[in-house]
Amino acid sequence: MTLKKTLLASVIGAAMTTAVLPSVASAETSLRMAYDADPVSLDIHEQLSGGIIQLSHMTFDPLVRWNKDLSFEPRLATGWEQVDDTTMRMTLRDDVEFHSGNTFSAEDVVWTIERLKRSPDFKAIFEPIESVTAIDDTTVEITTTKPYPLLLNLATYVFPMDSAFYSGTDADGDPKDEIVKNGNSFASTHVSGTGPYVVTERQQGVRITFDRFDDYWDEESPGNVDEIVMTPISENATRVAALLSGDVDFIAPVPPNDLDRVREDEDVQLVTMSGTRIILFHMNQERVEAFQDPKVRQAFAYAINQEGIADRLMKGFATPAAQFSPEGYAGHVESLEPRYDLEKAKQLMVDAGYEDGFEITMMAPNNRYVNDAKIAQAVAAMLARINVTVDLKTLPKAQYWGEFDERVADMMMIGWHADTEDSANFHEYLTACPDADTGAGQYNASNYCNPELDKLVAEANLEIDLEKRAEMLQQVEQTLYDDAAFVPLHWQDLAWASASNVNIEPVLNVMNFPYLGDLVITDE
Amino acid sequence: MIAFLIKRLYHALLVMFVISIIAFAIQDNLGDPIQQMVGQSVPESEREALREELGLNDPFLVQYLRFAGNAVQFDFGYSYTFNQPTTEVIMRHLPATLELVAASTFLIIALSVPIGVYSAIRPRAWLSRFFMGVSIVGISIPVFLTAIVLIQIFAIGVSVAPFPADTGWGAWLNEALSTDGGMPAYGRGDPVNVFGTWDSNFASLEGLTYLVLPAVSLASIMLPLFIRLIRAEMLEVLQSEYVKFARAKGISLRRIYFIHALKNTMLPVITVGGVQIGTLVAYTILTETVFQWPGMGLMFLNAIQRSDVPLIVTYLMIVGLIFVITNTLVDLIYGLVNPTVKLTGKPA
Amino acid sequence: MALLDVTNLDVRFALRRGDVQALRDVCFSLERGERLGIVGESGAGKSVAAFSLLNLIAKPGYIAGGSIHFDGQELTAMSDRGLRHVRGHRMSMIFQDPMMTLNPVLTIGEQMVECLKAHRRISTKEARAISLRKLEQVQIPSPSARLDQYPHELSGGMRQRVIIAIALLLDPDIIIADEPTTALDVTIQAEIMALLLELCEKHNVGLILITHDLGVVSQVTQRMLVMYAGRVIEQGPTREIINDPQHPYTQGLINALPQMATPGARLNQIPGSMPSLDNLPSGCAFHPRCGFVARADGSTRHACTDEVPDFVTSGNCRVACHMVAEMLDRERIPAEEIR
Repeated sequence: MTLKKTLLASVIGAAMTTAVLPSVASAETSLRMAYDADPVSLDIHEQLSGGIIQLSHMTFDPLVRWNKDLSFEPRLATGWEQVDDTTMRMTLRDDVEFHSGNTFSAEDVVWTIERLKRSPDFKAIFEPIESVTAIDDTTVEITTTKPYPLLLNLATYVFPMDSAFYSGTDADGDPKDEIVKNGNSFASTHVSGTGPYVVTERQQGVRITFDRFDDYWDEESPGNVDEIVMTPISENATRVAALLSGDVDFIAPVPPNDLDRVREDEDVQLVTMSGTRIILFHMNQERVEAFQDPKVRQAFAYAINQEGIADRLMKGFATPAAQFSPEGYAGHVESLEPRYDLEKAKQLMVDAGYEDGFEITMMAPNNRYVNDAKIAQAVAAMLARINVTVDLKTLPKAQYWGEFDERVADMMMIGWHADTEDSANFHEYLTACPDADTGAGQYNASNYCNPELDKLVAEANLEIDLEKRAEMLQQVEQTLYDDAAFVPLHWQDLAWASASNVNIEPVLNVMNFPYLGDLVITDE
Repeated sequence: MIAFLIKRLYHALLVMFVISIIAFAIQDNLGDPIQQMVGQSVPESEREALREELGLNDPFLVQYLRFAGNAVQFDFGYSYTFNQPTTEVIMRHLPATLELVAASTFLIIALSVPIGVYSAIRPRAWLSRFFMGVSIVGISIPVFLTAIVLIQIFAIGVSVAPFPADTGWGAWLNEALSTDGGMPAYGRGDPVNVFGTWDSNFASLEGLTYLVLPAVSLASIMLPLFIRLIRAEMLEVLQSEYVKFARAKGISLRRIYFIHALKNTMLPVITVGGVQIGTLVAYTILTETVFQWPGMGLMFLNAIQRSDVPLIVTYLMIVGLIFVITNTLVDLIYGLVNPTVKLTGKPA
Repeated sequence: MALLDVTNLDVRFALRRGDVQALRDVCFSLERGERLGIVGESGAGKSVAAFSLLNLIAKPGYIAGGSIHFDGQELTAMSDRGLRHVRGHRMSMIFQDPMMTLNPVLTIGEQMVECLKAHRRISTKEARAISLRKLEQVQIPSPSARLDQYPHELSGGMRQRVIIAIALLLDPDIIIADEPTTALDVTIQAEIMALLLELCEKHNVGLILITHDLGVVSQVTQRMLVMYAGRVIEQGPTREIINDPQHPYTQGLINALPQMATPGARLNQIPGSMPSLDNLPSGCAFHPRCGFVARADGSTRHACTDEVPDFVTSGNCRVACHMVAEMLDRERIPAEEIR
């Protein structure tokens, strides 16, 4: 079933050619897949986005990776030990090779982390790491500036790169390891990792072809896919049509409108999971005086029916939320449920002295989140019942974020996914007191400021004891709930679909990082 | 002739210049490219640094002059998404669109001429009425819908059962009306490389199967127009004196229809239709989106979504150029076909 | 037996509100080499009569009855295919406006060669040679250059010469000319008419000349017929009709000629206008405009309003008029059926 490929196949020429390698005998198991977009670059440090991380899992391996239940699975790192508050020691595998043939060692981990700290997109989340040293070939020691409880979370982003391959200068005389955001670089077109797949052909925006890496270290992986052809299909209907017609075997995402259609088709299977992206509304306290009154904010919380939205608007394709952290996260509080009570909402408005209501402006994107514009309309309609008149404007995402940064409307929608898969991330960006110098509260369009809370989050970030830490983060969620400072709506569900004999369910997770190296395709 | 062409070249440059100014002026409304380029957690300081590096903070005039200065040296900037010169990106996507338009044009001409002529010769025949009816429907249905329906019918397959399935004849009719699909649902497949730089779908049978559905969808926009145009023109021409005279000479009907009438019919069709076909090159956006056809239209749509301003500006200018070229070609062809027109100063 | 014999020709137009009769009981004949003029106002049916000979009337017109006998063949019974052999070959036509008659996108040569090739099996080279000869016959300057020119490159007069040449290409027996000079300059008109006359005489080709110009008719034709509201109302030798018109309408036409008016005085118009075909008066169609419905003694001739007049013979002419019939009755000159 496996065919030997020469190593030359893993090096991509700078000019994108359309030369297609001769198609091999049908004994090879091949997966044709379609996402809504292809990765913008082969350099996995160039951008911090879902697409790049998905690519990383195909061509590289992380030190550790998430299991379905959000525990950690050792990959290139076999063990870890917290030596002291600010030092962790990790043991690495000794039998791993890169696509280029070089051997993997601790040096590569050091090199990779240092490069991550230089990457404009990753440097912020790797800021807690002070230094990393290779003790020996299979041991690496990481020190943090302060006690940092999320080191393992961070380790899921460390996909060791072939330092030897990326060293030196390329044909243009530029360093091979440079990270270039708006130009061509060696790393954006050349790949050498430890991952299960080797990139053999790439036409940006059209197709990427991967071949199974013959010397892949994980021999226990059940995966039997020899070749993957990934094409981006941006149009939802076309992507689904491609699956239903048998032109592709695996697609993601599946648009909510087509869920039933995919479910009904016998040759195709649908997999859905609750996601970790929270959709919420900010209430700008600086713009609207009424929002400074907790009673008004609570009235809003009671007036908005998250379950109704999830049920009828999203057709069940969302999990209603009353907090930021989804299930599985440290800060998630089971008891915090959506609290829809229209009578209570009206009463609170009367108590606050706003029986006649008031007018506000609202803004939301219309092509970024699932049903974003419709959700905004539904919320506006719900607020009308407590005499709040909403002037709603929706914009395409390209224009919306500029307006968001300027805090142009009284209520603004935003969706957020924590890069670290950890609750603190929500608060650092969405609820912390806005501070232009430190960058805190960068997306806090409510201008909500609770210094006590920020302090608690900061302490939690230094708390190594994970149980204690979870308690602190849960307290933060409770406070925010009581304060009703924001209006969380729901977590967007995720949906994938594949041909019936492509067993995607075992390799999928709530972060939407499919582990395609372990994918099994059974015979039809 | 040379003077004519030079004048047209001047037009082209003027058009491109005006478009570039307009496109540049609205670039603030096209969205923030930085937003598309960096992840959500990247701090403002990093974004500012990137903005500065790309020169996006400079005043409009400075940015435009920089652009214009480069443009006259044929450097139209780098695409933010592809990290390549915009001209290269566009040239890479151009063959796909040109082939799609060529295939559609072929379909349009091959179908509209016989149908239009037949409808003019036999206006009351049921087939003519059928074509006229269908063409009204065709004009009304948006190409998007046509494309999706075609994909459903020919790529996925549709099974209908309006007749009782337990009877022999019912089952047979159901079978006949259902389709199995099987056509490719998206993309160009594997076009064959010809002449070194051009990947063609015309070079292989498989390539042609990928071309069929998109070409039919695109043709459906223009086909009704052409059919009705040819029919109307032909009806008028058939009333003319010279057709009566040709009949009085005893010329065969076939020759009258296809030599006397058709050539005169095609004159206004060339003018109107030629320009319409030219606009097809720009309006492949919807068709390419539905079929994920990697041509200029899809490229442009993605560029807009990602606020890839250099690519947008260059694309708009190139489209302006294409329009001028198309108009010029149409004028030239018309001048060649119509002997009464003195196009270029040659004594008639 | 005359070369062409038209008997009781009936042509109708099938309109939505019912059939309208365009020609009623039209009879005339033509000997070989004879020249006949058909005269009348616009709408009288002259062109319809001409077109119906080759069954070229535009729909919704159709031949409803009568016979067209040509050289032993009944044309009304022929299929379109059969008629095509006659058209352009045995009988050819010349239309009114030479600019509209020639196809602007084909060269003169192409339009001449195709006519030859439609009726004979000859090569293009031979066809061009014949075409060249015909062009010379119609006295066109530099004929060989003309073959490759387009109609818009020629003047009006030259175009009409070309059309005459086309009409003569296959040595027809009859040429039907529908107002051949109306659209031309006055100075050219005489030239073209003279040319046509010369060629017809020279090659013994019959001519049916349709025109409203009495002057041309008197110069060119040997016999003529006058049409009114779809009927022939007077026919006979041209000289006799011009000098001594019998029918009041014909008299009115002659009187209306500018030559007949006294200088400085008003022209003599026939009062009223010709009725439309779907709204014909009862009896004689001319009676509303006729000054002779009332007799000299004041009584009304009721036949004019009640009956359609039959032909009566007066000298060499046949006239369809009740007054003339009455006069002839009184004189009791025996009628002779002379055409």
